[in-house]
Amino acid sequence: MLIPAVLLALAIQAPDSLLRERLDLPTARAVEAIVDSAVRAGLPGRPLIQKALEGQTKGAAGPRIVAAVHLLYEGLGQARAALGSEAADDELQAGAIWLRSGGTVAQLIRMRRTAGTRPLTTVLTVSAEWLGRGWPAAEASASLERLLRADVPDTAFLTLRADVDRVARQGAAVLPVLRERVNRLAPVRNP
Amino acid sequence: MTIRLGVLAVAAAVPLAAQAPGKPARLEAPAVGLGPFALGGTGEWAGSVALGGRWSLGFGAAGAAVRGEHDWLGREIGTRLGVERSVGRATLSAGALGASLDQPKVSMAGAFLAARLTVGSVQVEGEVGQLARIAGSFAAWSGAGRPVDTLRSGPQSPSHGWLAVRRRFGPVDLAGRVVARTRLASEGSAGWEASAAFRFVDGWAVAVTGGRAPIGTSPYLPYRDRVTIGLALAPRRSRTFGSVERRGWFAAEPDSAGVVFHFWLPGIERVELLGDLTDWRPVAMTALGGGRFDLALAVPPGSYLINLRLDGGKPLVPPGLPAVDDGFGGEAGVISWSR
Repeated sequence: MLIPAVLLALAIQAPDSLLRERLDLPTARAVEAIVDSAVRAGLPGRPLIQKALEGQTKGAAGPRIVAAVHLLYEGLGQARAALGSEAADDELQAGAIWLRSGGTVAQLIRMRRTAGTRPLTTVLTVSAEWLGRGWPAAEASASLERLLRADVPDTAFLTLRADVDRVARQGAAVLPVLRERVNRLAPVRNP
Repeated sequence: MTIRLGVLAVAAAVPLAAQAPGKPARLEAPAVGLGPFALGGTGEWAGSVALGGRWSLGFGAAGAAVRGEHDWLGREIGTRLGVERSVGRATLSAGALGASLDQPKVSMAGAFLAARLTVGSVQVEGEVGQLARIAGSFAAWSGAGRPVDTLRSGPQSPSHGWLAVRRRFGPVDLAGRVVARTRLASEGSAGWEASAAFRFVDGWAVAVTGGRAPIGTSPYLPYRDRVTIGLALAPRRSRTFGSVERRGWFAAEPDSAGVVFHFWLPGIERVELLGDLTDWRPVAMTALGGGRFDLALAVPPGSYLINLRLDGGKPLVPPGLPAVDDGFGGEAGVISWSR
């Protein structure tokens, strides 16, 4: 038991060479500390490292990079709490994106309960964009639960996403089309 | 010979595909806001002759655009209003022309037909137009300021045409134009001009133009030997400035080794992909010609954040991908695939 624990500790404490290569020392150290915390909490560290590298490439200052990494770390933690310990890393990342786009932890919990063991990566990634286009989060969450109960597959979500994007490029209002398509895929049942 | 110094050539363009302030431009026009509008303008101080300028306003969506231009020199005005439509690599436009002279006071109206073709980094553009006098009289004029014979004996319904070729060499745009119009009594019927613009900072360029040609729409603006030096400002370095932005296309195709990314957008010379799968290092896509680019990466299936950079510009969301706030004032596209 002792040897694996030592190895795990060494792994947690080993700095990522990419961070040291691309970031200034104070920023790299701050990001490494966040990554360490994430790994100890059972969260994926790679998305946090990638977020720091993204900031460096896009010319962000050190403090802004650290703030973005910390925000993602919090999002991943909230997504883990909502989606469960069995959620894969990309599903956690999609959940963090959903939260960042205006969704709530409670909405994630309800969708997880409705979807069962079905991965929510595609559903959350696609619907996060619709939140960004002005779809109210509460309405979005209720609609997504309806779609999940109707077993609408991921491919249908991607097709719907392409339809909505086409409408947006033509300059038309997106939400009416989105609502109509959702109702067609999963009609509202009269009580 | 008249030398004109352009004090400020301002092309104040609101990007056709602009998002909210602080966010990067998309490759396709968004649904709301000022995204589809582009406003541009130029100004010149022509030595001892007059102050002149030009403004243009375009509105584009769904592959078409309406564009208006208004230019003036002293009290003479030229206006045009046309409709543009992009078909593949070509842009066709047609519309109405108007011109108003000051000495004598004559108004003219007519039509134009234009076409522009972009092949790689070369752009060819041409126009023909016809004006007819609708008010005032050339023959009745006897005032000072213009050669009498030129206007009395000149055509009452002048026609014009011009052909231009532009090519981009990295940060430098070179262009040449030949102009022809109905011959006036005291002038030849052909003119020419050449220009070079150097983009030294993203959105800024210094331009030098010289030749023997009129500067505006009005057909009776005289040909003069001239040199113009100007400073241009444009928030985006779009080859289709003032007209409809072409729609790019992006796709990811998984294969046994990883994934192949495909991108298409005519008029772009260099495309770089950057994202989680490249540790956010820009990786150049292979140019296949005709605006097509490919890139194969050995990465496992999953969900990734990615951007594209076109000709060294700002990171953009690839067309068709969901976009999320990147936390740095911009957006990143999200792509995922499975075996």
